[in-house]
Amino acid sequence: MPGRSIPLELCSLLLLAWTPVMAQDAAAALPAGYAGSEACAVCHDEVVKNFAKNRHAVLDTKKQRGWEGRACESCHGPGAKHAETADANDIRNPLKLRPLAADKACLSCHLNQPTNVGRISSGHARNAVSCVSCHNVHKTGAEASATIFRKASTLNRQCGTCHTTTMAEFQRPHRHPLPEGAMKCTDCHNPHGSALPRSIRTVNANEPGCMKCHADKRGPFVFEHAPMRLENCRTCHEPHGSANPRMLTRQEVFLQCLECHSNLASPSPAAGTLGGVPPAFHDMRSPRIRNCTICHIKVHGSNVNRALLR
Amino acid sequence: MKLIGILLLAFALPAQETQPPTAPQAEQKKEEKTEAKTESPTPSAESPFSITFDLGARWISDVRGDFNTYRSMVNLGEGIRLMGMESHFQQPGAKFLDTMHLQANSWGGDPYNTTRLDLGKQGLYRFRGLYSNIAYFNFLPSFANPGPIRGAFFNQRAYDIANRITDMELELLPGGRVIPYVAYARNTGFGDGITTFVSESNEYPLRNLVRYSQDTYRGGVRVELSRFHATVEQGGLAFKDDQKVYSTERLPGNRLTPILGQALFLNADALQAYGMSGDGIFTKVLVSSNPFNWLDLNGQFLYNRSITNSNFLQSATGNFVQLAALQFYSRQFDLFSGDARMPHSNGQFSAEIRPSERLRFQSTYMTDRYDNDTRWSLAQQLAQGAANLPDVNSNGLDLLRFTYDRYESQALLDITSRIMLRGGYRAEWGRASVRRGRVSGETTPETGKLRRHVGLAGANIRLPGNISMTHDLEIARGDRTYFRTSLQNYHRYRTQVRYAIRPSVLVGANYSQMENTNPAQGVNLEFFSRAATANVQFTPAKYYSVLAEYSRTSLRSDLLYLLPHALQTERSFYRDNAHTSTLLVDVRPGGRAPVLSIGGSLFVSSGSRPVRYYQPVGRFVLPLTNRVQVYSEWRWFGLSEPFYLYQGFRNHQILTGLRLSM
Repeated sequence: MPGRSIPLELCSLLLLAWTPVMAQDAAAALPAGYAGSEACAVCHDEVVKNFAKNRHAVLDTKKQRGWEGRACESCHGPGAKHAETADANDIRNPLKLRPLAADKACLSCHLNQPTNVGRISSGHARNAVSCVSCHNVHKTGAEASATIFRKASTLNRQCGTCHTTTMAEFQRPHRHPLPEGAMKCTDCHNPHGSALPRSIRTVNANEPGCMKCHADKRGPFVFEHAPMRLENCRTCHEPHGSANPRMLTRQEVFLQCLECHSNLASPSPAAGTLGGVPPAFHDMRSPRIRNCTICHIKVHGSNVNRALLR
Repeated sequence: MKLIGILLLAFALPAQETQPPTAPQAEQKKEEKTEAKTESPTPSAESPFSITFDLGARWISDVRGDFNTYRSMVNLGEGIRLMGMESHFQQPGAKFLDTMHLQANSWGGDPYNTTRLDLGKQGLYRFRGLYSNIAYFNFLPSFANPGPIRGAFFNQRAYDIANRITDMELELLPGGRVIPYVAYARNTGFGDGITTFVSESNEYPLRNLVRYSQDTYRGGVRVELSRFHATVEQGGLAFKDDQKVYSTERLPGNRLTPILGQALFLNADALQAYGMSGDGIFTKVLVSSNPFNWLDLNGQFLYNRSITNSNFLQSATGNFVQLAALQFYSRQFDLFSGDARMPHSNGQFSAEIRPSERLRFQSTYMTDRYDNDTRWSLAQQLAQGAANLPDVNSNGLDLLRFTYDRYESQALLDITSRIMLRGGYRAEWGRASVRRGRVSGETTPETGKLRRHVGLAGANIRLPGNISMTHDLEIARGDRTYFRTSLQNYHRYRTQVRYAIRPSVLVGANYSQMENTNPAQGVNLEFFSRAATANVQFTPAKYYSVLAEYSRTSLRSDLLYLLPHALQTERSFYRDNAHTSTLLVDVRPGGRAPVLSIGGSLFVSSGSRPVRYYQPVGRFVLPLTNRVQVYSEWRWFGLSEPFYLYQGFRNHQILTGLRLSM
């Protein structure tokens, strides 16, 4: 198609003539106090080289983000003075800032993003765990946050550096397959915050993240088992790990059930709890009766039977 | 080629001509750097593509003890496996694909296989895909009794299911102002197991075929402006659960004593067929705004409306009994249909106000509510021999209604650059209506209330010398709660200390404690739990490192229940005192010498269910070249439970493999 190559060549030549003008304009347009990313590259060439592979590098090129040509300074602040003196005290280092100030640097762009909508109610925000505690910006390859977060084993290790007790729970015999690398902490939790307690991730808008895998337990059921809805799975299960089979919170099923279905009517209105009245007059001496889920098999909710028998 | 040449020229020239706004010192450094670079013999170019394969072969010894427990907990088998594969491509500036990451783990027969794929072109699109295949084998006697006697059946709740999850999301124009996205997820479970066919006064273990699937579609758009963000997402899902339970032989059931001289049994033609289908729509609206530098506003509205339609058929012959009428019958046919509709909405609004650099106020209000109104009808035919008994037709309504509201307000004050204190208050209230238990005699719903007031406090302290401490305290007083074991009057305290003694020595300690009581008559709940963890990370030289962790937890729960047959009050007293320890020692002599690792974990608990679970591990890695490594690993799994001896197992595993990097 020789006919088409002529206009393209013309375009290229026009571009050739116009681009230097553009670049000079951009340099001249740097606000006072800013040095620009190219100045940073003079000394920190390795960092800048790595940064080009980072998702934040888009700041250098996207004019609409407001940091065109000075992506480094979007986090580190104006760097003209530092470029002159080469003194570390003349530039902001988010890693050394107090958590609130470090977060301010990140949230100046990331505040208005979906992950941060529930931020205020997250334990991380409450306890001043700053963004840079988990995320790194300059690292590449195996050390890059994106690589660490992608792989289950490395992400779980990262969470485990602070949540040591939780990681110890995963050494119990009955647990979710997290140590095997089949699951990530973030499959269940949203570290940036959630509408649910303990930063439990939501799926299908507002369902607990458990239902992502346990789709057969999500319902709605024709006959619900109230704790599934009113509280959460932790009413009966220890999802991180348990000494009891099926991650139950008690060593035997009948104890698990009878703690709520106690058969004890309470005269006190303050103890007007749900499900306490007897569901049936069973002879608890029989082992087959003590094992409630032998018969009440649809204990998470049934679509067929009110007593959750099928 | 000519065109490419011109384009390259067009971009290369301005790059040479454009002068960065640098100061003289910086220019001088640039020159020095340039000189240093020219002296370096190492080429600076690096390949944009890398791939690592980890191929292994596992050998396992005979499993001593209970093989079903081993499969339920470990489930690793013998053979050749692709233990891991990781492929990475990154080339900034490439036309259609500048990043690709493919990862696969544990393929070839292990119970957990995952594959993840990330593709993208900066500013154009980003695709994330996940496929996981998880084997769920469970043959544990979850109802185990310390004194196994006649009547305890260990295999009546068992599953051998494969759970496959596919999850994909495509995001367009990432990093832009308007980012549309679409996503699809599929979750399936299929396999078989053993479950119970329940008939009055007897129950029979039957084979259970499980097959369910859920398809979820969602799409939305994110608008990201500098001070305002909104996400609107709309999704839908379709659900299907077709289970089948059937018998293949005549069964006497669990009841081994006759009723009125007649033995109960189930013939080989029993069938339960479930046909559940459901669908739903959901909407997510997230808004966040930073109208002024001192104010952040966040809001979200989440709505989900799910519907389930159920059809069920049960057919069985044998010898059954209706105890209330003392009526024996030989044939039963049930037809059930029902539907459930549950709109569920959730709203949250929060604000953060910063009147000064050091002071912040955070307030959140959240409301959550749903109603599940259901209808059902049952047609039942019973027959004794050739004679039909009167048909039983019934229908009804069922309900579950729930509202929950929470308001929380906190003040956070940076006293100094190293000390942050916070304090606040949370109120929680709600109401729930559910159906009553069958024998209660009342037809009105049972209503429960929730009312709780919680005081909040915390501190974050960073001392000189790399010591950081976090304290978190909640103290609650409630006078209404939904369930006997729910949180009512509780306090929860947590502290975390980290100290970097030297760059090579990091120690940490966590302590948490929780106490919950419900003194109401008839409940008398006392719950207490405590966990203390200490860890040390010691990396004195590049030749070896030590990572050690110890955790001590204790839990105590005490409340009352009534044994119905004896009308006698009993204590449900549960105790769990556990020690957990993990250790990993790495020895890296350097060069081509083998890297040795030893360690593992142990869990020892006492109390209501004493357990000992050991998982020691030893490993060596021998680098053959810069790109090829040979490794070998030994693991041992050992479980013993003094009260449940039949559940223990022991097993050695040896894994040998080759790791290739290209």
